[in-house]
Amino acid sequence: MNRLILPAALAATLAGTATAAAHAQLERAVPAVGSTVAAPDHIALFFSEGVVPGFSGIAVADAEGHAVKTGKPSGKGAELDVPVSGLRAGTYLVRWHAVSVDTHKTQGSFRFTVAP
Amino acid sequence: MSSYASHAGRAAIAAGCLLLTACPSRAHAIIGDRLFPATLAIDDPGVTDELSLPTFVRTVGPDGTREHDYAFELDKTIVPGFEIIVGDTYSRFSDGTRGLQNLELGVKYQLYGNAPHEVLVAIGVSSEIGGTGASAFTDRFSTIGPQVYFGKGFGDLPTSLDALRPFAVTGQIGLGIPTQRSTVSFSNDPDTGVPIADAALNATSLNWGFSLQYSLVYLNQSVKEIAGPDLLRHLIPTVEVALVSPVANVPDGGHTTLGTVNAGVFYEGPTYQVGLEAVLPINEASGKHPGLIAQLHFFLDDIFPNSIGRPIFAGARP
Repeated sequence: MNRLILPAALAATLAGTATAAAHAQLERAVPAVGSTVAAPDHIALFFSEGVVPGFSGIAVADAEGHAVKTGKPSGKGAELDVPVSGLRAGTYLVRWHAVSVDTHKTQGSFRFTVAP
Repeated sequence: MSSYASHAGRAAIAAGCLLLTACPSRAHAIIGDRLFPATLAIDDPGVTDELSLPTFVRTVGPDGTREHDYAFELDKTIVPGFEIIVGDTYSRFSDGTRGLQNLELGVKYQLYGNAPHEVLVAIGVSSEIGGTGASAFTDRFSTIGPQVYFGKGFGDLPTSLDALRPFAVTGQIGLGIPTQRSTVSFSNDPDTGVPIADAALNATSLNWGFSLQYSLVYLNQSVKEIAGPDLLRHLIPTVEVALVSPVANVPDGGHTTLGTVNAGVFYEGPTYQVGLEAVLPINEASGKHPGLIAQLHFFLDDIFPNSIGRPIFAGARP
């Protein structure tokens, strides 16, 4: 059993080290993923890790696939924001890509609906 | 005298070791919006820097022998998309036998990826190096074989099928080819004392399996935000099936497919994964009772992105 002590110690060490930055995964969004809401004036994404706004982005398209004009992404820490305006009733597709602070890239997409 | 009957304990050991020897690599993978977990019974199609430490397996063989395994596996990228795999297992049996299994070595190459359709395909070669484990219960010959790994997420289904989009399947199919066609052992007849030789064929096996996953991670990120505890947003309930079918050089009575159906769940942390599955033998030859497998898995590319977590020979990180 002694030969198991070294691996166990290594695992414990790694577990202690495992707070490093990682792939930024989307934890939640405003408007919420799959939600129906009143027309928002911005879209906010909250990630599991800090992201670099300059290398990250959010694109919005309506149900016909036409791009919706957005402002410049901004944010701090694990949040990424983009202003939007003039969203009419309908379903919108949000595509995002994020670069975490340790340069790992992730991407994703979701829909939300603006109520009439 | 020659006999083609398999050794009595061989099926038990084969079943017990099935989870760890048939599929040496268990790396995680991200393609497009999809994260495939590092499955426990079969390998996934990912190629990246990871460490499984420890993997704990408890099984009961067909003869009732209980087996506890403690395993590790390191996946190390050499260049982007190509990795080597090293793993081993310390086994402890209820009859008092214990020791290391044979060393497992492998290579794996990321052959194809399609982000919009969440498809990953990898190929590789896995091997078990004979004579490197405890002589009491490991083979003296090596086994080597080609492997194909694939994964497909269903996030590209139309939104009318939103409920199905978190589903994904992964699979693995490969061969285990012994380097020695048969194994000869010598003993004395218990009645006459006459020396006898016993030859057992070493079958070539088809190692195959698949997993069906329903990713709450994907559901929360891409379909519908999950209300409730944060824990739920990190779970991927999964069913795995891992099978070993003898296909060539098969001894009489040795045509039975061995395997397990595993039902469990993965928790996806920021730099690690925890996996827990119940192990259900598919037939009596594969085991007598349900078992358990648990694993702590580290994503080294996240923990050490600028050192051991990246390919040895440069290139951009995927």
